[in-house]
Amino acid sequence: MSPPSSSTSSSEPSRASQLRELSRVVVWTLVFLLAIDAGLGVWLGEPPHGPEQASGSLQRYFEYGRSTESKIRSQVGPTDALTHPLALKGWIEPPVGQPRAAPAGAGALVAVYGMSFSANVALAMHEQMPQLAVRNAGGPGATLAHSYAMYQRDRHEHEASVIVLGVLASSFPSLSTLSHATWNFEAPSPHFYPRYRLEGGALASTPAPIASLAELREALADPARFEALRAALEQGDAFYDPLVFRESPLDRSLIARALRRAWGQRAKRGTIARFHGPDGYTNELGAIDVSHAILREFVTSVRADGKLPVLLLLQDQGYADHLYRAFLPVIEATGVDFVSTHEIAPASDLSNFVRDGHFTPENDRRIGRALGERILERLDK
Amino acid sequence: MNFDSLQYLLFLPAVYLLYRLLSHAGQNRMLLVASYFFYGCWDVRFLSLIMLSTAFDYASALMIDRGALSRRQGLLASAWAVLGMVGFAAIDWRQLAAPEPTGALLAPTGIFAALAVAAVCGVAAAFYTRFAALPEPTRRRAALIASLVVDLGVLGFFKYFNFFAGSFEQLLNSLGFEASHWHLDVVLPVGVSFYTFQAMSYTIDVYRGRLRATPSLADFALFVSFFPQLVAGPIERATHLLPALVNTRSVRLDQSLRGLHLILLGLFKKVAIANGVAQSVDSVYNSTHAAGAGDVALATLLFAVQIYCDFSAYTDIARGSAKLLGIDLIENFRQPYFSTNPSEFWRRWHISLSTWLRDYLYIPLGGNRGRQASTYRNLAATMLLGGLWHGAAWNFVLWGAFHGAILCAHRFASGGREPARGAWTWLKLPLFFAITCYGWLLFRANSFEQIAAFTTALATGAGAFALSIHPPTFAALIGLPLLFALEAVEHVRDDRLYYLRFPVWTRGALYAAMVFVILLGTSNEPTQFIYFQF
Repeated sequence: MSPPSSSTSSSEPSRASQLRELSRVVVWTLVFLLAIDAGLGVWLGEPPHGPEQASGSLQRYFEYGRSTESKIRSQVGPTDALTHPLALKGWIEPPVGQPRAAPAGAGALVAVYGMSFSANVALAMHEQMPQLAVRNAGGPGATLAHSYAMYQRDRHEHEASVIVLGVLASSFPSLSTLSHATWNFEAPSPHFYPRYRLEGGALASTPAPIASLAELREALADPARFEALRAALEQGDAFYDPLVFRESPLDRSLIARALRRAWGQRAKRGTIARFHGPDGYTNELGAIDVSHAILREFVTSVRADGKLPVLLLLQDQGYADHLYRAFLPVIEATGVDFVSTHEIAPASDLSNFVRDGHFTPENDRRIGRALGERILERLDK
Repeated sequence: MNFDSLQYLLFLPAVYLLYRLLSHAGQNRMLLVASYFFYGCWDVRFLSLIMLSTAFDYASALMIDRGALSRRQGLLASAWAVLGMVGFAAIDWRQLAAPEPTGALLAPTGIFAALAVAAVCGVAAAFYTRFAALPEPTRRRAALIASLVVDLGVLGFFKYFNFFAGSFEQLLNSLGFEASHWHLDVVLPVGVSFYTFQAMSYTIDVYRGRLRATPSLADFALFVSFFPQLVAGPIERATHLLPALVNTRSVRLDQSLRGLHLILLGLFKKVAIANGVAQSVDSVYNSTHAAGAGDVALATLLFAVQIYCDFSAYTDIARGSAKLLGIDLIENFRQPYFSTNPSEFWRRWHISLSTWLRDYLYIPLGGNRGRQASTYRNLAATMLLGGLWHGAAWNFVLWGAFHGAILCAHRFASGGREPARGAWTWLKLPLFFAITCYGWLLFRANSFEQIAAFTTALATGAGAFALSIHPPTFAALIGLPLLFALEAVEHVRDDRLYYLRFPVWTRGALYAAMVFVILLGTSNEPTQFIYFQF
């Protein structure tokens, strides 16, 4: 091989002085980066603990990239009073403070299983149609698996004559998870739920690795048990990523947190892309087959109890009518009543949503009205 | 492979290390392989087209310049074209890579294309003696025309066929005729407009006698496909880039450092700012709601920021990457938003395209050599075609027409003289920026209905305070003032190396701030470089 032609033509002293200057610039860059990291870290202070909220938007911003485990540890206090509200929500337990039967004067009790979207719609429905009392049960951004598990757990705890199953389009890709904390790592709610699968055509489930907040407290205090939880998530949760989940000393560095956040977002986008493309959902890991089986079981079970099943399909931003199209075969096969938001508040019109992605109150009312009218129409029959 | 991806972060150092180990000839061969690999990462089928264009322009230029091809050159060009077709169009490599193949390994369309190319090569060989015997002017002109037909044919078919067929179909339907579906299921090859224009400039310059045709197919192939600027420019001239590739190069330290500075600046613009404002722009332009004047104005302003940061970032990273290899690419942007009139804007924005259009379209049309009316016609036609170059959609044509109109108006008002900068500059600057932004509205809009609705909103001021636009990300919000400061300093000092005059610790602080903001920006939703679609 002939000698490299990429030789320097300039004189050596000049090159040496340039190298010296380069090394000084690199050193100063590193010094300033460390100063920014440490200075901002000191200024923003310790992460919030227990029920405390991050004190400002900047602190919240830099908390997003902290490891999920670290966030869970800071959320969960020794008692409920010393625990962050996010950690109290979503456990598969009958809801507290919700009516068990239709109050006197109300026509019917409607039990709604879902998430904040469905709860807002249900409350808006009740406001406009007081004869329909509401029993809301769910969790933050609940997946179909969570809502179905919640329905099963709560099934015999009330006398509702109508059962609404709320399904959120953006939560559909998270069907193959065991916890909200894995797929919503920026603001995790550390509750757990079963994962469903098909075995010989029948619906089977992997139980939630942690059943209650009390169990989670025990696991956090027991390294072996927490390691077992990590292993269960690694094996059974499509969104689990050890780099994002595991606590590490790097949690103290804002720069490391920024990088972890970017990594987490990238991993999350990659996983979502397996389940959802521009034309709708894919059947990755049998997600569509499993969701169809869940819906069929739900309808059969509610009807067996002599109640009215209703599906509430909540198509949020970026999902057009994909949920409706994915569930249409089951809707047609079972004849289940449904309300889909894609015709009431299309996802393509971003003014239908508020900044955090929820429907505007006006749209909650419109969807609530449509839901109430459908229920009353069926109850009248 | 995006410049802001992890893959490129690995690819560039690997190329750089290999480059430093090789001799000049080895460097060029390695760069050609790397460039084809880089391009093939998008879709390996695209390589068939670039190899076809390369082979054809290589042979055409030799026929223009020397009037003859050696047997070896003829065989090489034919083999290159046929190999490209067989290797990357007839064989569907995606079937091999897919875990579950969905089709056959041999693609019928690709086989047909390969046979067609082989037939053309055979016909060319059969008629070669007669062609070479033509009188020189006829032969030169015929070879140039053949080259332009192939280049523009590839561009026209892949980029514009569906557009014109669809428009014609609509026209027939509107006239009451039943038009069948003429839509073809073709993929638009990334960067086809850029490399086609670059290859065309080569054969035209050879025809004009500005440079000799290169006898080396490998060197010419590298000129067409040089990876830093292959996909989104700058559109290089053969008179500039080809000698840099053919001649022995040296990699100077100051050049490498400048390259690293440009790469960092490009990542800062793209990752932190362009990606950080993209969702804000989309929240208005991609929504079906009736946006108010405030939303339209803000979204359009942010699109002006997005497209500048996105496109100039690509250029920065391209130029920076090339500098690491000891090659200087031409400048493509010079603080365009500090322009006070359209003429100045086009000397600062996408310089490689505007000078290309000037040299190969405007001047051949007559430029400003004829009557005033002809000059206006030439200006308008050039800008109209410049608009169409961007994309196969009528809003790009409208954008081109808009710029043609304001260029004519400016020429009419100034009498063709460049107004001196003076006290009025600071008044003209925001005014012309607003005009530029309206042009971006035409460029970004998804339909004529949206253009009409947004223009009405801006004109009436309806809904000026009812904002539903998503706010830009934190990284964009803190990156934008920093970028503005850097651009302002560079503009005022009129010095590209202004940062070298800063004390060392200030440069350290500047780079630390940029790195920090880039790291924050890595959480932004990544978006494809806007100009890839062109």
